[in-house]
Amino acid sequence: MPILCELPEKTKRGRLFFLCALGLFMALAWLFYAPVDMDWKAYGASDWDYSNFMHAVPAWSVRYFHQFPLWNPYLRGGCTLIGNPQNPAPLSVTFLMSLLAGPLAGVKLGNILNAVAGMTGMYFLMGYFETIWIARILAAVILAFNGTVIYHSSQGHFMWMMTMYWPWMIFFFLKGLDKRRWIYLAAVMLSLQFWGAATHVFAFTISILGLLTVFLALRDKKASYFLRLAEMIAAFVVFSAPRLFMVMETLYRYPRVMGNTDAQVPWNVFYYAFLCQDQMHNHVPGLKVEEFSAYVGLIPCVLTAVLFFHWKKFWPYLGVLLFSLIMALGNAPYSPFWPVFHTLGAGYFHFSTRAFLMSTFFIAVASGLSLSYLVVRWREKYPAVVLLSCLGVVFVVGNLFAVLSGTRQFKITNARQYENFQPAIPFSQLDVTQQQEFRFGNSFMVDLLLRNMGTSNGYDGLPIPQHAHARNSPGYKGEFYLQQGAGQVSLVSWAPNKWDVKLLVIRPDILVVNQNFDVGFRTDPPKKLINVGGLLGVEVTPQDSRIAFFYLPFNFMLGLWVSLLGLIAIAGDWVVLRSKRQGHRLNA
Amino acid sequence: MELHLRPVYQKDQSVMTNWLPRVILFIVAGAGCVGALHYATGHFKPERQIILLNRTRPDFHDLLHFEKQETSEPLSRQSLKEYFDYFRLVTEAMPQNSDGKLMLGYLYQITGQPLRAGAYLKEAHRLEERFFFTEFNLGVLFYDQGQYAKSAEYLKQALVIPPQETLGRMMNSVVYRQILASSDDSADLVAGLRQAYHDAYIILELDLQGARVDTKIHAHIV
Repeated sequence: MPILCELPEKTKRGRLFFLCALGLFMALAWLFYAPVDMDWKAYGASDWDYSNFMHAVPAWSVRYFHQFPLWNPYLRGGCTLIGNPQNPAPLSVTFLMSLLAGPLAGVKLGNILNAVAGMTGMYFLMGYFETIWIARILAAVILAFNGTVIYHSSQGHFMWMMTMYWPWMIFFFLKGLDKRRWIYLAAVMLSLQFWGAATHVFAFTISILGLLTVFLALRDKKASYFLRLAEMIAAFVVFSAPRLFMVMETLYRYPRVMGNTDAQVPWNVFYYAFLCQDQMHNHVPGLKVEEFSAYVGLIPCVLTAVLFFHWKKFWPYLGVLLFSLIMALGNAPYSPFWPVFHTLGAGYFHFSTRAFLMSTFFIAVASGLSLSYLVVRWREKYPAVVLLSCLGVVFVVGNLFAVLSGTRQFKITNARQYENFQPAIPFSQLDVTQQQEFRFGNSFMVDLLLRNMGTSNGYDGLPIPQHAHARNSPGYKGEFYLQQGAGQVSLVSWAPNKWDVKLLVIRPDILVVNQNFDVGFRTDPPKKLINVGGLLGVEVTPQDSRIAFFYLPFNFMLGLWVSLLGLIAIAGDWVVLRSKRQGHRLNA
Repeated sequence: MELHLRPVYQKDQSVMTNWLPRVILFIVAGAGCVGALHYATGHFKPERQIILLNRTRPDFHDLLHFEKQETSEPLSRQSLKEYFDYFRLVTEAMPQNSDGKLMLGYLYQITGQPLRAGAYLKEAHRLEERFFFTEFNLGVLFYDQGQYAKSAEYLKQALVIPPQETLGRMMNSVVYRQILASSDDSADLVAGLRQAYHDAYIILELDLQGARVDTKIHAHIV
């Protein structure tokens, strides 16, 4: 029965089954997301506004102002956009879909495409382990429709869908341990996560890669695996340097340091997270369900437990799974991993139970491996096992859909009239009151943005100081003005990343732009920037008639150069590898 | 005829061809990261320090209550120590920012150390000439010392500054915002400002008359 056989991808049958699987994944993703998401007005609470805002600003910068999105004038008086770790532009599926279909429809379509990409990646990863077809389907479904992924994508954390690149990354990484050329593709997958604004996911990705490399090197007794990892990280730096360097600068400049104040998470969280059918209520004291939900159901948990009988062969993967489960217990006395993780570079994290994101991924892998092993072992003695496995997978799909589609409907309840962006309205900024500012569906950032307005006290996870004056604040003097009022200023053109100002100055003065000061700005003609109480300014004289401001930071340019030089080195390495392959072939 | 083909892979086994591209890759990626970090630490260290510092700020409730003169008791020894420590760190982190020095001057002023208060307030005034509270507190300091002409000079300069400008200046200050974050009601800020301007007019009048009253007039920061 082909459905239960190993499927080498390069055979005709393998390709046919892959196409069937791809069709199935597309159908499942559509069936799960479409009922809620294809209502184009459907909008969620919590971080939906922030995430939509972060998609809308770059998308409209490109679409309406024809500019590469580098600066965000709409947030907290102006701040770097390319350096914001939660900016999805310019290389993420959700951003590209936002460009085509608008931010709200774009992120919804992007979620569906990401889910399909993740399931396809899992199909190939399980193929690397030579599992049977039905086991690949099971693993793929658990990856895309588990509680963690669904809950976070439903409350506006669209960047958590970057976990869908994990199977691809690990697939290429495992292949790259034997054949180096695959390492570069693994680095591409890592970079796509980074470009896709995977802030929390990225810390987990690095943990998984680090641990997996150590465990696999120990199992196979090969130190060369560390070199492969180092090569992968170097290639990742090259692929993402323009953004990586800007993000490093931003995180250094505005450090988001969360104290490790997470509570001790009780053991029963495992039941409520992975098994409990009620994924709507906060069963664990002090934790909201969206922070611990990781529903996969009984069958995947049992299958994962069964794989522990094959500990000897699969212990590196099971080891990472155990690490993630123990880390989720937070500051519990028997869980040392969370404080260590928090100290070693992940100080911006809160909610230890978010580590279930890693757990669900490895449960998906373990379930597929286990099912494959069981069926192959027992199918000749007990033919009924074949039918049972198929029914089991169908049941798992139905169960995940039944439990979690309700969750999505519950979280995405607001219907919002989404108007068109109006770039012709002159740009200004507003201070919104604390009640209006943010929290649980009452955010105003996208609403203001639609009218080309910034939120000068808007929400961001980073502590970006706000210096610009809002239109409704006492110190407001305009978006562009002369400090001493010695002349006239008029705006020739405005775009998020560039402002062209016409001047008529009587005596030397300072031209002030009502945006936060940043050393990354440049002017045409070149002038020295002045920090005017946190605002951007330049000295002007009666000789100046026109000044253009544009944002082009040093680290972005440095990143472009590093990418260029690094890509030349990678191309050189590819040539070496290629000639080696040809040499081996000729010798053979 | 027998062909003696040299195995092609031997050509690629040299250290140069095998390792050179990878070595370049490591150097470029490593140097890029170091360069980016070097640039960031060179340009944004004070900004980072103040953000980190603000996370360890003390509770300013006591200071704000004292400012509103709701309590006749002086600030507790513990609160004063916390405020002194905090503003010393602020002035170290941002030597060019006048607000940290203004706060230290104010703390010395209310704890009865006019010499130190004068030094810090003058330094704050040197860094930023046009700020109401620096000039007001210098005016109060000289008034307490009986130097009425000097006091009047500073207070006249202070009263030229419109209250809206002072309010905007305070709201935009990274140091002031830490203090105001402990305020329960934003109306307090406007009331405090009104009181400070009111006090400035009274002391100026007394300065001009060269008179002294028994009622103690406090320094202010809000």
